[in-house]
Amino acid sequence: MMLRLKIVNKNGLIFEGDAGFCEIPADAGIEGVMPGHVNFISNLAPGVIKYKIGETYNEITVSEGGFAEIGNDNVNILLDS
Amino acid sequence: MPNLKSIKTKISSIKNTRQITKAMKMVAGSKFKKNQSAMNEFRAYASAYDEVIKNISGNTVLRLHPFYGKITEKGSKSGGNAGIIIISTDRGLCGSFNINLFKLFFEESKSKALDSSKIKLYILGKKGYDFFKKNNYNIAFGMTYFDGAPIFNLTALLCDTVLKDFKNNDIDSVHIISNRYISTLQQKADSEKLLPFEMFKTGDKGKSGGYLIEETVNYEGEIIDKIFTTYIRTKIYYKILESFAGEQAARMNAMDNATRNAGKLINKLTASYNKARQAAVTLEILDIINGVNAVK
Repeated sequence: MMLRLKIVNKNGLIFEGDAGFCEIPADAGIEGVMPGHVNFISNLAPGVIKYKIGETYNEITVSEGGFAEIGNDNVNILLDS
Repeated sequence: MPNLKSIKTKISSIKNTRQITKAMKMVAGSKFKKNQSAMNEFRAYASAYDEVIKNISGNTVLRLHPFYGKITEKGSKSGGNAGIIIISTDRGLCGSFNINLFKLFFEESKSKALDSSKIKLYILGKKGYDFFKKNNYNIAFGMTYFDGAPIFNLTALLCDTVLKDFKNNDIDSVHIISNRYISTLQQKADSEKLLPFEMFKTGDKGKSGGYLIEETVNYEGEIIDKIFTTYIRTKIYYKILESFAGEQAARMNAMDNATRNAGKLINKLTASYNKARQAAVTLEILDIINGVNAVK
């Protein structure tokens, strides 16, 4: 089982693909998401999004926030900047 | 016999026009590239947003949000005021780009049997504003792109006005009429319903289960409200970008046609000019020969 991760900002698509794990700087604190996570919606605070492909971790800096929607292993992250 | 001189001035004036339309085509071309890439960049965001809204719309909690309308409380809302956003252009010379919008507007209001007194218009672009002003429509919001504000601020302003009216029940639905960009050669006037959101049909569960809404914010409606508001804004912004790209593409085509027509006209006039000149020359030669013969 993998997460279907999609990260976009207003200038285009940043990442789309499968990831084993991802970490989101939600408003309430850093949220780790693995396959099978409960569906949720959250605002994002400035911070770092991490996602794991294979054994490597990739990072994306969130400078202005945005929001994330996680539903049935689909992770959509929309960044404001 | 047509006057040689008048044909000549006509030709030179058409040549000037051709030069101008050619230049305008080039200008439109370079603007088009810029607008098109802006549109393409934003498309990913807009379509991802669409998807998110579609995913979460199955959640029953969300239906309490005012954007889903208040049908349950007040019974049928049909017959109320309709808000219509029209995205036109500031400048003309882009073929039937704006006319198509107006046509679609009349078709829509006819098919929905809307009375013009019940329509509130929110218009971007000078052409649309002038047109509806002339036809005595109720314009709640009108702005041109010239006003100097960056497009995103303009969108925010428009969006806030529309949402305020919607929340105050001044309008019961919001439609947006704009040109959809299909290709360089084809733009289509299109009408889309923005608000209220479509109620999720019971049989149509889709893939969305319940969503947790993170409750750091004291009121969970806050994030939903933010998402929905931004969604409307995103949608309008994308439509504007699309209309921008379409406008320049339409202008490019219109100017290309004009240049070509001018060329055709020049060819035709040059032919008749040559004919007239030849006739004059022949006449003169005949005159001379006749004169010589008479002297002999």
